[in-house]
Amino acid sequence: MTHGDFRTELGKARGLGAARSGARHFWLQRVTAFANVPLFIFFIGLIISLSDKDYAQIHAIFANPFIVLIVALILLSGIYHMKLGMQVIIEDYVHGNGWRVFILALNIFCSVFLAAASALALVKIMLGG
Amino acid sequence: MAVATPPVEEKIQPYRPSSPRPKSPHVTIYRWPITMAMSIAHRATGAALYAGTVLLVIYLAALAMGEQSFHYVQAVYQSLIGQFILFLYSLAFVYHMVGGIRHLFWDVRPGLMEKHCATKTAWATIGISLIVTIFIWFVACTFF
Ligand code: HEM
Repeated sequence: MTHGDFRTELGKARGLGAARSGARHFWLQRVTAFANVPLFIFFIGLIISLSDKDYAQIHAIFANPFIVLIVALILLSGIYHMKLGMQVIIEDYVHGNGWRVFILALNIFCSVFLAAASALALVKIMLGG
Repeated sequence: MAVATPPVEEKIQPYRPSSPRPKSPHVTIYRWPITMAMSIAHRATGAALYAGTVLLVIYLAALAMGEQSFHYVQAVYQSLIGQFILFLYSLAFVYHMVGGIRHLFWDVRPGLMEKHCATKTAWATIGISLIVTIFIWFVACTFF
């Protein structure tokens, strides 16, 4: 990774930052933010187009593999970005080792749960359930 | 022979002045510049979008669970309070997206962070977010 590697030479050699992984976190936050722009513009259009559809039509739209692919990418990029962003907020405001570790872990659990639940829903809809 | 004990970590004491000493002005005494309010709003909307994602996943899960649960969720989302929350969600979303693009420009052109320029783009972000959000609801309500 040459582009987007903001670390100093020493930092690269050691592979650790002050927070062990800060540069990578920063980079992934930007990459997902960048990816989010076209993905979520598509998504807003999709949601708008759903407002006059009934259950069967909406189900059919979300069963289309192309839509599933894009919605999966939206959820992947969006939820990962969200997880990274919330981590920064927690690191800024939550102090005290035990509490902080607990909330940081909770953030990971929530993000993974949301990702897994939506993936399961998409697969079920696509397979006609 | 005594076993070497590991060094005791020195406890860092919080700073507690014993006498009131002059302090430099802290953020609370300033009138908020728009750029500062924007920065806070970007964070607040980021956190709000976390909750929005939960709404989104509930919607998808309900769709997967069948017609009955979907209609139930749809009824809640289409109620007055539901629509109000969805409106705020969309506003937070568009604001965070436009502000996020502003952030990404800063990453490649740090010069844009200069105070007068940042103040202009701050107002532009607010204006664009409002227009885009209202446009989205206008299109959704009139054409669909
Ligand atoms: C749609 C396009 C989006 C763009 C362009 C975008 C852009 C950004 C950028 C550039 C940052 C870093 C700001 C900073 O370093 O201060 C950020 C932070 C954040 N974003 Fe997004 N974002 C988007 C969508 C989302 C979504 C969908 C969520 C949540 C579901 C989200 C949640 C967050 C959170 C929690 C933060 C951390 C805020 C902070 O540290 O102050 N973002 N976003």
